Amino acid sequence: MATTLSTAPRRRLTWTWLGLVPFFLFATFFIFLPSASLFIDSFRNQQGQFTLDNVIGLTRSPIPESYWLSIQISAVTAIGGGLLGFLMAYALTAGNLPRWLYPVTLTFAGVASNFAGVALAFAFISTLGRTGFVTVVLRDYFGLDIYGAGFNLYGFLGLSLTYMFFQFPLMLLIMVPAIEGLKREWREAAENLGASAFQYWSRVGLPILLPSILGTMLLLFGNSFGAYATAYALTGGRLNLITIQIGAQMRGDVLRNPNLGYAMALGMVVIMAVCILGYTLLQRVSERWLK
Amino acid sequence: MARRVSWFAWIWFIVGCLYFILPLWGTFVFSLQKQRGTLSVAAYISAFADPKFGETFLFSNIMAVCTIIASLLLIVPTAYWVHLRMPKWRPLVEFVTLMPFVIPAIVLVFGFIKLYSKPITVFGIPIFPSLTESEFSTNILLVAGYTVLSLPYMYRAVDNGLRAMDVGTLTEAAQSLGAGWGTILWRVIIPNLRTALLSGALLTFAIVVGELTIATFLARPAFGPYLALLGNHKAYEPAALAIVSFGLTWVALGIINWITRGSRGGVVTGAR
Amino acid sequence: MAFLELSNVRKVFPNAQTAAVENFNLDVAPGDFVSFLGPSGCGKTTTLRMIAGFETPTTGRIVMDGKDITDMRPNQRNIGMVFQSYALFPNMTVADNIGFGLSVAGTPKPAIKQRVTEMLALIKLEQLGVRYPYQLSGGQQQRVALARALAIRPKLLLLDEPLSALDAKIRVSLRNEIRAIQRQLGITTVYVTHDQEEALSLSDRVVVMNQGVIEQAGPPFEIYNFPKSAFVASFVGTLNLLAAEVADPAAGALLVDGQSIYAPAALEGRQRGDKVQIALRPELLSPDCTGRDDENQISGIVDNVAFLGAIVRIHVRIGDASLLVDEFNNPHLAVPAIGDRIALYFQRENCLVIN
Repeated sequence: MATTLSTAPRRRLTWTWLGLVPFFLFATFFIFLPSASLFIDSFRNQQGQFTLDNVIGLTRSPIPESYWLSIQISAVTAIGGGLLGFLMAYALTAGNLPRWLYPVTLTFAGVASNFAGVALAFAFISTLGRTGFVTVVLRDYFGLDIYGAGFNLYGFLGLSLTYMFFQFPLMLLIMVPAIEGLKREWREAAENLGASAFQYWSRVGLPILLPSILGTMLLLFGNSFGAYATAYALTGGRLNLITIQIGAQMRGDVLRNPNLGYAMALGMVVIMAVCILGYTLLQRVSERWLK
Repeated sequence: MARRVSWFAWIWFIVGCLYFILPLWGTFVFSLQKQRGTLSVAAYISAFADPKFGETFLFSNIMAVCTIIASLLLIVPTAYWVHLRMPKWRPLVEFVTLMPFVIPAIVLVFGFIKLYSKPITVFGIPIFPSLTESEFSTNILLVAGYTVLSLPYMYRAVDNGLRAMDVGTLTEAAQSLGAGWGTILWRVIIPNLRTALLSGALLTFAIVVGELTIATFLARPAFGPYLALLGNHKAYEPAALAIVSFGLTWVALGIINWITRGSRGGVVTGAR
Repeated sequence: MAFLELSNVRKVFPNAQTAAVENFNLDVAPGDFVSFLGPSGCGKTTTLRMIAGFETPTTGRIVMDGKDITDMRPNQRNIGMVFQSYALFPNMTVADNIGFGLSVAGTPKPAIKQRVTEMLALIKLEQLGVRYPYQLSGGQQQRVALARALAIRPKLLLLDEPLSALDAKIRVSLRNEIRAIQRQLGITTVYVTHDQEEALSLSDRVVVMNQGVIEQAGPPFEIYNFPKSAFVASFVGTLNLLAAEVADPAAGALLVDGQSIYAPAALEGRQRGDKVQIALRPELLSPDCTGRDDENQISGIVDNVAFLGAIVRIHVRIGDASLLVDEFNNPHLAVPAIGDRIALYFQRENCLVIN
């Protein structure tokens, strides 16, 4: 539509502006203001004066250990879940499995990646808890007493296994379209130029997929890092993750200093922001290549 | 060129399948073992018989419906507007929809409590009462929190839906026939978005019903906290409810997959 | 001795009712540029892919340079292939793409570097070795794809509709470059296309295919001027087809819209009253009379006059049919008006009787 000069366009602009106001108003009140409030007060002490003490306080035990534990679990489940998810995606797409397995597997993956929180914790307790199904089967039929050997569902390994239940389906769901995005002609061109299947994957296929793989692993990392419900329902707060710590801080002022709690939240968000940033950048690279 | 299936592929596929199926199967069997020595649905009966189950489940469902409505009212006009009139604002809107990943539920509810458990004051003059004082206003806070959590999925579903139809041309056609904005949205855009809206709604439902974090810290009688509490003194009932929960998620996502069959959607998931 | 021989090649895809390629026999001499020309689905790409090794013939043999390659794996045939979508590896630079085949074969790095430089010079993109494919235009990417295929010094070069994804102008200049490079290297080449202008202008021989079979194979001049079937006649170049009735088979006389014309020879095996079709090239019809006695005359009404730049195309209605007449553009040409009655002349020998 042709617009005339001077006042007409300006009036138009203000009016269309209005259409987005509710959204940004909501975002302000329920995302940005609460978060900003946390972050600003992490730089204040209890009297309201500006200070860096809280941020420095993050380096005092037991907080760094919390961050570190969270980072470890997130890294382990991101890499473990990422690898399993990728290998399964590869098996499904390039491994020539029967086609009917496709929709079934993808639906299941969709469900599994959303099945987190309390119910998942219970599922794993029923499976790998002291009287869980798999524990009993391993003991009675295979003679393996996993608890006797030191395994504990409510510890690091147990929580990692639980997290992986929703991590690797997520990887599967993202990787399947990515692997399918590999053009058939690349494979043919490589073969035509003399490459074996191994040479194709190691020099063309995997390198092209690498940004996608790494980016999704970062996503998985963030996914795990920010999770609270599953960890709490499984370990009852015994595991010293940073999310558990923040929860404890909310329940009762365990640190005697609420501002320190705000600083912990700030630290968490910084780490998550880095993850999302990394993921977005890697996505852009992979999109450029897979076009 | 012969295409033979590699054993390598089969191994990993089977490992993955086992990882999916074993915990679910284990839970199912476990949930049938309430009565010693035999398999029965006693755990399920006992779980459903608990009045608190009905109360909290109903509460969560109501909250889910409220969230879906709020979410749709917020997202659909916004996505439409951005698509049609203000495409330059798209990056900013998409940035906002990424926020729930950057600010996980635990931090979000932390912020809510900090900001809204005291009256909102401007220079010492209270202009708004504390949102956590009454049940009703706390529920509003709960719904707001859930809306934030579902923002990314809802927005992506609607955005995909808008991309699939030629929004600009349809709008112009409707305008040339004399329709106003309300009519356009209600009779032209939304009917064509039905699939996308349904997907978004079902996903929101799946997210809200089992949610623990926000409900716990806002002390609302939702299904998630009830489940967690149940786990503290019962063994078989939680397993039974976990299976029920899984079944519900399965149904919700099954419906989504069925209605969106054929179209290319984005990945929908999240951890809690 | 033919360099490439396809003998009785037949390809039936699983679950298919008909064969994709049937009874394909072809000999290609060393250094020849052969085009497979035909509409979509005619089997030309399938045949090419069988030569490359991406499909296996159901029956038949393919022999290259004396060796039977029918069942050989594609990565052992030493055949270079250029794909329609370029298929450049996006994660590698232009130089790495070109050198890929050599690197996979274990060639030492200095030799690879030298060969890559040679190839970049050949395609005239010397400065672009460090760029990535997404930074290049379509035409540049295709040249890199060509260089990549040639870098391994293949015995045979295959091109699968390499220019169809490009703009018209680039297509013309690039196809000439491809032909020039091919001549320079003397490499046997098979080129698949659906564009008959491309096939005619580039090839030593053209193989016209339709529904899986070869309709005609021969030099472009022969294909265009002496088509053996209605399909070849109408697919290659523009062609006028007119319904005619046999008047006198011995004299070769026919009736078109009641008007009398003569075929170049007696109509064997025909009887008076038979319905046939005659084919006439637009450029062989003219409103000017030469006065020779083997000239045919036919009249009609001018329907439309289209100015196509170098050519003026006159549409003439004769009975139910519309004829196209091409004349070279000339500012002093007297162009007929729409609705005029016009008389057209053509040599007897240029009249083709079909079916």
